[in-house]
Amino acid sequence: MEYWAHVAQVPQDGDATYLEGMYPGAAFNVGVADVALAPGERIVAVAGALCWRNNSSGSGRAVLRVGLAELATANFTPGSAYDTIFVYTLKSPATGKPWTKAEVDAVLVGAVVNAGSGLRATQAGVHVLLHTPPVVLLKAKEWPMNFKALEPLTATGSDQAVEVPRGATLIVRPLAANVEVRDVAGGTAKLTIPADSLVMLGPSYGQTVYLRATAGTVIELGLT
Amino acid sequence: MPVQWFAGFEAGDTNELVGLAGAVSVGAPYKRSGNYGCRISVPQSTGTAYITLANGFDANGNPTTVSRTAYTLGFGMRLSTLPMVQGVWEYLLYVAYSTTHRASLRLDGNGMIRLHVGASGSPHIASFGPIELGCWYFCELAVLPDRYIWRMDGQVVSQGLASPGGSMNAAHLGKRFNLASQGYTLDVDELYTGDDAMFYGPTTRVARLNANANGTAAGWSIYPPDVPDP
Repeated sequence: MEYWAHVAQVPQDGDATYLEGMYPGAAFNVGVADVALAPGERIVAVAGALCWRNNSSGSGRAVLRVGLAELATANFTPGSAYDTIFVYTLKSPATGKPWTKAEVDAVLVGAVVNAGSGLRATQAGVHVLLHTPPVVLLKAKEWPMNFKALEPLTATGSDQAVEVPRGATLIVRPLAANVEVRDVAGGTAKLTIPADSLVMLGPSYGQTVYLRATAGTVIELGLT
Repeated sequence: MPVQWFAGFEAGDTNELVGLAGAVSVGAPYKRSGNYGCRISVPQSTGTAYITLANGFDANGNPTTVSRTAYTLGFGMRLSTLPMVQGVWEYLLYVAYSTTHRASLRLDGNGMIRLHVGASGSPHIASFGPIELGCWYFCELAVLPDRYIWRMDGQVVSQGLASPGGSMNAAHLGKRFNLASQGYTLDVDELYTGDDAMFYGPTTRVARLNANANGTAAGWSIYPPDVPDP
């Protein structure tokens, strides 16, 4: 009988089978069954569960381990009747992030004797809180695709008017040089669109905008 | 920190709870998922039967109650018998600061459930039902400093403005205090508590992962000891 089998009974079997810590520093841990997740199911919280009691005057702590990372309760002296204590955590001690299935599958749970002896562990395992987030269905778009490519504009070095129909969004992509956008021809206020970037302006209420770039710059345009 | 405690009775006992009183038992017939659930058999008398939920753990790993200004909980529930008399109401859930009422769900003989927030004598502010006997529901309630949200099976029954009247540190499922000497039978499973309005919905479940492999061990003796082969 492997030692893990002495702490595997559910419900716990009291003193029928147990592990007993013999001296300060004595430690044990056991692996647990893999968590079976349904599609989309997530791990919310994990609690290492240790059912133990004191048969002498020992003190110790329960431990939850993932790789070299460890969480534990405080050291204390349990009572003489079996009781379950928990090492509870929302995040993996290995990463400080929400638990992954691989981390839960790798969990070890056990106990360490801090002082004295006679700590009896009769059950060890892990409890996990799981839930499946609701599936949000994508809504169909209200309108069909309405993209319209316009003839590219070749800049002249001065303001060039582009009419944007009411409700439409103007797509502007200048090639090779920046383009300035004004709402009034010859105005001083401007929006500068860097070369080789794509900007969407709109929706329009039926506005005319004015584009200006270095002569010869090609400005790609579209409406959507 | 959203969830501070959960319980699914998957160790086959009530050690996840802070406390209990009256006719409370853990068994396979009472489960919603996993292997075990909990039955609270509320007596048809002035007697009580309830379990006390935790909303945190102390440094030693014991489930405990912590005073907070917001209290959220979710639990699977199945009623198999109802109060015999209609028109009088018995506690199904009692959220409190110590024993002072902050919010409650109360059950009637016709299967209706009512929500009360504030003083115990305050009028109900929402109703749900009638509950169908033998069916599992997933009930979730968030009681916040100035408002509440109540959901059943993931659907909002009611939400609105109401003050519990102070902080909360305890929640009891079953009949914590007698109101009308009515009895009913309640199965509960998949319980969680939190300190914000985060709900996990009816897909919530608790699983137990049993020991099945050696890790490392030094200084722990086994009982019963291995008997060498003759």
